[in-house]
Amino acid sequence: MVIADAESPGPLKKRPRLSLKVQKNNESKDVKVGKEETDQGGEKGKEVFEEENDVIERDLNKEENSKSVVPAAASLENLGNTCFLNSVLQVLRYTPGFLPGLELLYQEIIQVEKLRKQDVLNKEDAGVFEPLESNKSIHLVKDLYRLYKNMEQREENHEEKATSDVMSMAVKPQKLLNIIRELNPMFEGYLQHDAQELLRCVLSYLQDSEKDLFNIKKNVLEKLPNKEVPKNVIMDRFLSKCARLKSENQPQNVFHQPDILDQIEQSEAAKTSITQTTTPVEADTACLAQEEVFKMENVPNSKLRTTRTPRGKKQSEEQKSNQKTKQALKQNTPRSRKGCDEPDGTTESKGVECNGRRKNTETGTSEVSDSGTGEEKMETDCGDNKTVNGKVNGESGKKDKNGKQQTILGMFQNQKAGKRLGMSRTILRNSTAKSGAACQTSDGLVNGHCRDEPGLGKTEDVVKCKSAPALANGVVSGSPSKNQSSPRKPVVKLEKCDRVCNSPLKSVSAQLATQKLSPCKSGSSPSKGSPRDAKQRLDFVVTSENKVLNSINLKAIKTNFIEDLFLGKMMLRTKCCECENCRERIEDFHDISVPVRVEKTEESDDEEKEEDSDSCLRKLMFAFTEVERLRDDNKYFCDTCLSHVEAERSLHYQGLPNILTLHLKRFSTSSGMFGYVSKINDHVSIPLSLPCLRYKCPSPCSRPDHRYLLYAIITHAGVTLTSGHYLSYVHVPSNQVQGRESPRHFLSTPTRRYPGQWLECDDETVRVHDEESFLGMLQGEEGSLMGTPYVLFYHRNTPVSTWSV
Amino acid sequence: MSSLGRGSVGQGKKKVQISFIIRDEVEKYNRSGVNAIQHDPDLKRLYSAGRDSIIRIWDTRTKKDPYLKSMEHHIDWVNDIVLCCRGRIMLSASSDSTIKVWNAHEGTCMATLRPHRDYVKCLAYAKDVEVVASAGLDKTIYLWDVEELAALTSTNNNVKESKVHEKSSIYSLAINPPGTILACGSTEKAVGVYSVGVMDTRGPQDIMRLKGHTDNVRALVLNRDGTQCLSGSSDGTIRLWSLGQQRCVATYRVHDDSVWALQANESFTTVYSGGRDRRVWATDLLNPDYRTLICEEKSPILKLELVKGDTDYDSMWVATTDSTIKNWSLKNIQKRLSGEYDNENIKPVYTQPNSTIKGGSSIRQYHVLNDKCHILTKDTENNVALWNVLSARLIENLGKVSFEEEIKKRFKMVHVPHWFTVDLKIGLLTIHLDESDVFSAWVSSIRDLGINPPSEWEDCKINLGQQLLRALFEHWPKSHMYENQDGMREMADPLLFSVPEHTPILINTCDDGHGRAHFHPFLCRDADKETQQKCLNEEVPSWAAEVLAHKNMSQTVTKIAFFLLQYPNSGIKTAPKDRLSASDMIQVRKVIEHVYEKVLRQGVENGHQSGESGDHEKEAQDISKLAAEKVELLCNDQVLDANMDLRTVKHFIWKQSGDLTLHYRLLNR
Repeated sequence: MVIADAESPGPLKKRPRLSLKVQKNNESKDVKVGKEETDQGGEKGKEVFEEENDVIERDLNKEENSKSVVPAAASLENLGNTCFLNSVLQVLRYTPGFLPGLELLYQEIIQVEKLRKQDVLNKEDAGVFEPLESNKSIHLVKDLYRLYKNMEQREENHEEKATSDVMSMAVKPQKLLNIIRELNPMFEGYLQHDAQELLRCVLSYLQDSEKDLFNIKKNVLEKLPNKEVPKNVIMDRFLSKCARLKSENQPQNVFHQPDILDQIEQSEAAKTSITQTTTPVEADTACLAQEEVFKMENVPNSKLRTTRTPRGKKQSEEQKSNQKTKQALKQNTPRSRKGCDEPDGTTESKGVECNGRRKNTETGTSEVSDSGTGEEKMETDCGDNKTVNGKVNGESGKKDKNGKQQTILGMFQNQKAGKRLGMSRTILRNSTAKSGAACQTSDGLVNGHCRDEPGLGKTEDVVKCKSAPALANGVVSGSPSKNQSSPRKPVVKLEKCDRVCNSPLKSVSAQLATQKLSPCKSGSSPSKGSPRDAKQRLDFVVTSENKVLNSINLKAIKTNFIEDLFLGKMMLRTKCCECENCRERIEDFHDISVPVRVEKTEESDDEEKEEDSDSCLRKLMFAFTEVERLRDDNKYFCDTCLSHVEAERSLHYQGLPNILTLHLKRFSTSSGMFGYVSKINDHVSIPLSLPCLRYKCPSPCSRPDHRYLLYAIITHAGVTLTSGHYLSYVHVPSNQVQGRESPRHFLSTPTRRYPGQWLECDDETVRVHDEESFLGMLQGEEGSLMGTPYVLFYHRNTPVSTWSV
Repeated sequence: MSSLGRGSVGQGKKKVQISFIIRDEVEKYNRSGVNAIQHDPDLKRLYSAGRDSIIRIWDTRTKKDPYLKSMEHHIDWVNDIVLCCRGRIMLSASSDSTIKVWNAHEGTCMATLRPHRDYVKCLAYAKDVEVVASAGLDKTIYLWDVEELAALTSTNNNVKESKVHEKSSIYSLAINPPGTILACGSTEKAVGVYSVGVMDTRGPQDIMRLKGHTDNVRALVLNRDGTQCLSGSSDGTIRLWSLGQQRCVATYRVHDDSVWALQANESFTTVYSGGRDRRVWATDLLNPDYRTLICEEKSPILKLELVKGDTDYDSMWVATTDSTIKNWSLKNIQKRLSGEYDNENIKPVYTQPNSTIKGGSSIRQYHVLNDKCHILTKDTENNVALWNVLSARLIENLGKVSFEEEIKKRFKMVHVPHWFTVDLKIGLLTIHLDESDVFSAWVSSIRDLGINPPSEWEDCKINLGQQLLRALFEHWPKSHMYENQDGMREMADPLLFSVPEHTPILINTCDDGHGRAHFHPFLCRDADKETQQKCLNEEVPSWAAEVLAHKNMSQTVTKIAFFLLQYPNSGIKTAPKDRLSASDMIQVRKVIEHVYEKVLRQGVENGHQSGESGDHEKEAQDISKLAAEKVELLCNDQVLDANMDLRTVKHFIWKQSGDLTLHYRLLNR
């Protein structure tokens, strides 16, 4: 993974979509960004960004060529009969909703690590940083995340790497394999293993990690003296960034370790100041102000993160967040709306509202903020960091205008001053100092406060953190994607922003603000991106934040995306044939095991038997749900009859998961010799869509949203469980399927390259099939699938965004 | 003969269970639901077949105390009965998988038919030809010639039977009076129709399947000439089928739930139906709009029996899952348009029955107390009662009190292993004794169990299962004398207690492989009758015979291993040599004495003991007292009561699987 990072730091995935915007942005902001980056220690990520801009143009030209060379889909190297692992990993990667969930979880881990660190700092002032990696399942998440990140980067750099002599875009899942083997020694050795078992294991480990993380987080939060999570959250973000930087051993870190503490303090001060100021002010305005600050913070964070490590987020989430934000806008901020006649303004207001929501609901649940930042990062990754920042600033400015309390304005002004004052240090510091100053009117006071009383409430720390991010935002905005090449430039930008904010005051309309903002951006750094782009990005950010906010409301909320995706509920109903009372038990299931051969029951009607012997998947599944009779020696003890009676036991799907996994029971010990697991190679015709399986629906259920669409198959070629070869076929979602307004895809680059097509992932090799030829293969017409279908993956026939958690 | 008891029957795979029922000598009331009723118009008698395994005969002319007689021979639910030969012969079908032939007038069992391999669920009677069909969960229909059955004697026990196999469990059966058409309803959700030649050698011929129901078919009626069939199903509908057209000609949806009982008048114009929704409807077959809600019962309806008046049927007996049987008048039921289709608002024509045959209560819940001797039960009327298993008697009726409270109140910190199982399917307490665990309960005193033993048994260890078996077989002569190794006989020990003489005992032999169960029921007091003796000599399983006739009670007592350490635990686990072992019934008192003598007074003891052996007993008592004063035992930091035995300590205080660890500590007084 490290290798991959080094190779492809930049988030190239976004090129195709956002290339135009990016280019514009880059034009305007390139110089500044570059300066910032160098100043801060030259984050590779940012450098990459610079490169990106160039690359993007190249990409457009090259795309056609590149296709002919090696498909721009990352593959996985076979590390010695590990195709069972590779096939599963590929499928998971293309599983709708999986990557965003993983991303969230990963962010959560990072945040908790920060929290813990902070905890350590507060208590002992000792630098004992115990990484969560000691927990293997959490380690697994990190490795998995990094692996996908690597794959994504491979794909982004495809144009560069994929020359005619390159055979594959393979990544080595060595670390992941190691940790899986540590978790379950069963997978050791070089024998082939059951892909289905691995899938179950991996998913259960992910679930474990979610559980563990939740517990750890709860513990950490309990330990913290000040339980205001939001503050902590911010801190966490901050720390997480730092930690990330550390962990990645990248010299790019904006903050050197020694600086971190200072920054934190500063940020704390700023936060405290903000909170203070806000409280006296009207609630709304305060919220707005806070929101703004939050936005600022978020944006910078996101930028930072993005530059360092591009992350994939789910479109669905974004969509959700967008929706939510819109709602929020409508409901919450009439004022802001008024101000913003232009779309930009609206977006901004939305963002504000979102922020406000955040603050209102949970003034800064750490989780929320983290996730939000993560998303923001993603967006920023898109390449419009600069523009985004500018917009954010502009928003803040507008809001200030709107919100209109002088205190806020003053804060901003102060910020400027502070920035200037503190410019001597790193930009970030400066920014933090500024923010702090703005908030409290005097940086010195705040800072002094913090320094004097390092042991102050954690709330303060939190506040500081927030402010720090805000500062960072400011900085970022000032100097877009590239980290602050020179501290001054960012300052300048900030000033501009501030000016805008100050000058218009309340009277200034949102439009004005936006306009001003946009010029500011352009002025500060020659940004190529148009204000609209920036707005859009902002929207994304905002939406993502909103999503995050909404989804994570409590201090310690357990993420459980595995459950959300894969967990279904079935009802086991036992009906006594005597008194006809029913006993129902609800059970969870993660996959459905489908018998490949149906034992013909005596009771099944003759006619049905005669119909056809060809085993169709649908039939097999219905066979699975058929009524089982408890009779003869296997009678059922009825609680009502107090006697052993005949009974009917039936299975009903009560809640179906978003991702339906069908496991064909091809390996059976029943037939053949002792201990010999034989494989049933019967042909099973696989439908591209499954009919409604809900028991409450009438048998021909016409609701399209109850249907399931095939998106991946793991096939197995070979005779036994311990030999043979696995590979997977995955469907690259076409954008329509994924969701209408999905702004962008996060990890799955190939989504955009091969929409609607099928990829055959055979370890290092990836072949692209279009839908028709794949269908043909599925039906065994032209050629056929490699191996026999073993595990089938269906997703709900609804946009991912509607898979509400 | 002498060795018959010892594995006379091939006991290889057989599992033999000995069971008995705790009940009154005369059970005058139905104890549980009534599965079937038959009316004898000549004698004005009503027969009811109950889930309590008893067929009762009632005199319908007296309302005060209609009980006449019980026909007790089944050992499980009686599912159906038919009266044949103008009320002279009765056939009954039971979940014990037998069909019994009764002299209905006398109420005596004439023969038992065991062709079915599973519960026999239903019977059908063709009046004109005296043919009865039986069917059940073994998916098989048998046809019987009643005259032939009535002529069965112990020497002439050959029966001609013809049978048909269905595909799934049969829950309903009908045959028309001339015996030409047979219909069966099953979980196949279809009605199977057979044509029956009069004792056709080929047996019944499958002529059609009537499909349309979506669930089990629970009730069937055929018209006289076998051209029409009515079926009631768990899908809530009643269907009228034309057998000529082989199709459903009408569907009646008068019930809100499963239809379990159907009757039709002779002209086949009105159908009476009852079911799970507890309502009885009369529906005109030609015009389904003419339907009348006759009555509303309190429990799901299992059976309807029409009683013929002067012209047409003028009343109806209704049996439900409740033990009370009611008679409802049909006189005021004119064909009238009910008008409303909303079942909710319809008022039944009758709210009060003509007459009622009162039923008793059935036990619904039980709790075995920790002494594994007393059982608390709660019945359908919410009465709580306390029973003693050893004496097979009701100890106390506690009335309508809280069952849970009573359990709490009677909790005793005593642990005795399980040695029997309880069954409530007939609404009475049935106790099963199995070879695997019947001898597992040893107690050091049965005084606490409500039994006052003769004084010489005061302090002996007693095995509950053994003693109970001896009481159950008290009248079996073989148990009176022990047969020792040399074939010599010696007098058996006196009984500690006895069970009521009317206690029904059941020896249940079950071949493990093929599930063919064989029952041998008898009454406790009948064990000395000659025929019974003979049977018992063969039927009593070896494991019971060992203790009854041979006194070969294995004296193996469960040992319990434990560590004795000083308290507070110094942290040094003393060497494993301190791992002690004792009977799990030993009382803590004894351990304390042990500690006192062996551990604490070790030094002193040497000289002391050798000195005076004369007043040893006295000394022992003294030691016991002394020890109790000076030492106490703890387990898990809890001081132990001296009367507790070790298994109780392990079960209630130690609560772990590993070896018990006890701590002792000196009391300084």
